[in-house]
Amino acid sequence: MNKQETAAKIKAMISENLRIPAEMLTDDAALFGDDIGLDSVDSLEIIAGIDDLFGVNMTGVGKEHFQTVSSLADYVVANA
Amino acid sequence: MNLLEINQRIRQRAPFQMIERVTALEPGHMACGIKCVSVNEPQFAGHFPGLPVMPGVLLIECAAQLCSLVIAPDDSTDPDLVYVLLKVRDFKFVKPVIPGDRLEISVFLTKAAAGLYEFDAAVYCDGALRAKGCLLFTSMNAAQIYPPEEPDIRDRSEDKDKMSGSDTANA
Repeated sequence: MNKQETAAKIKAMISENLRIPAEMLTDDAALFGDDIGLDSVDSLEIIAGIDDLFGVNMTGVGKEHFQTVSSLADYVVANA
Repeated sequence: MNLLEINQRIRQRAPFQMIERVTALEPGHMACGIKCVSVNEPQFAGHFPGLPVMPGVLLIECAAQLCSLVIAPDDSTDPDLVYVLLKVRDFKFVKPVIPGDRLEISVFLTKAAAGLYEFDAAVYCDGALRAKGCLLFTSMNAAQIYPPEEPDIRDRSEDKDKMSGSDTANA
C-alpha cells in the first residue's frame, strides 16, 4: 500500500473515530497543535485505529510520528 | 455471579458498587448484570431532595463496572492493574431511573486494539430502554496513577542555627 492510500485510510479513521470533519484533515495539518487540537486520549484512539487497520503497533513510538497524517502514513508504510 | 463473587473481580465497594448480580459473562465479549435502585443510596439525598432521580453519571458507572468484568482476566489478581474509563461517547438517557427500578445492564465489546477496549452499553428496566451509549477503556498500573513522590527532605540544622541566633539577638 502506498503512502497516499495509507493517508486516506488514516484520515477516514480519524474522521470517523474522533469526529473530526474530513475537510480539516489535510495531510500536513498539525493533529495536536492549533490546527486540529487532539489530546492524549485521542492519540490512544489513533494508535488503536492504526493497529486495527494496518496491524502496525505504534505504542511507545516517538511523538514526532504523530504530528500529522503524513507522518503517521510514513510510519505505517515503513513498518507495515 | 453473586455479589461476593463480583467482589473478587472488581475493586469498587459500597456505596460505589453498582453491579449486584451478573447474569451473563463471556470474558472478552459481553456481560449482563443487575442493579436494584434503592432510595437508601446516598446520591438521592441531593439528587433531588423530595424527587429522587438516579444521576446519569451513575448509570454510566453501572455499565463501566460491568465492562471491567469483561476485560479483566479470569484471575484478576494483579493488585497493580486497574481498568480506567477513557471516554464516554453518545450516551443518551432516554427515561429517568428512580428508586424501585431493577436495571438490566448489558455491555458488548465492539473493538479491542492496542490496549483500548470499546463497548456498546445499554440499560433497560421492565424491558424498556433507559440509557445507552459507548464507553472506551484502557488499563493502567497503579504507579501510573500514583507516581512515587520524593519527600522534600531539607537540612534543618541551618534553620536551627538561624533560630538560635535570633534568640540570642532577642536576649
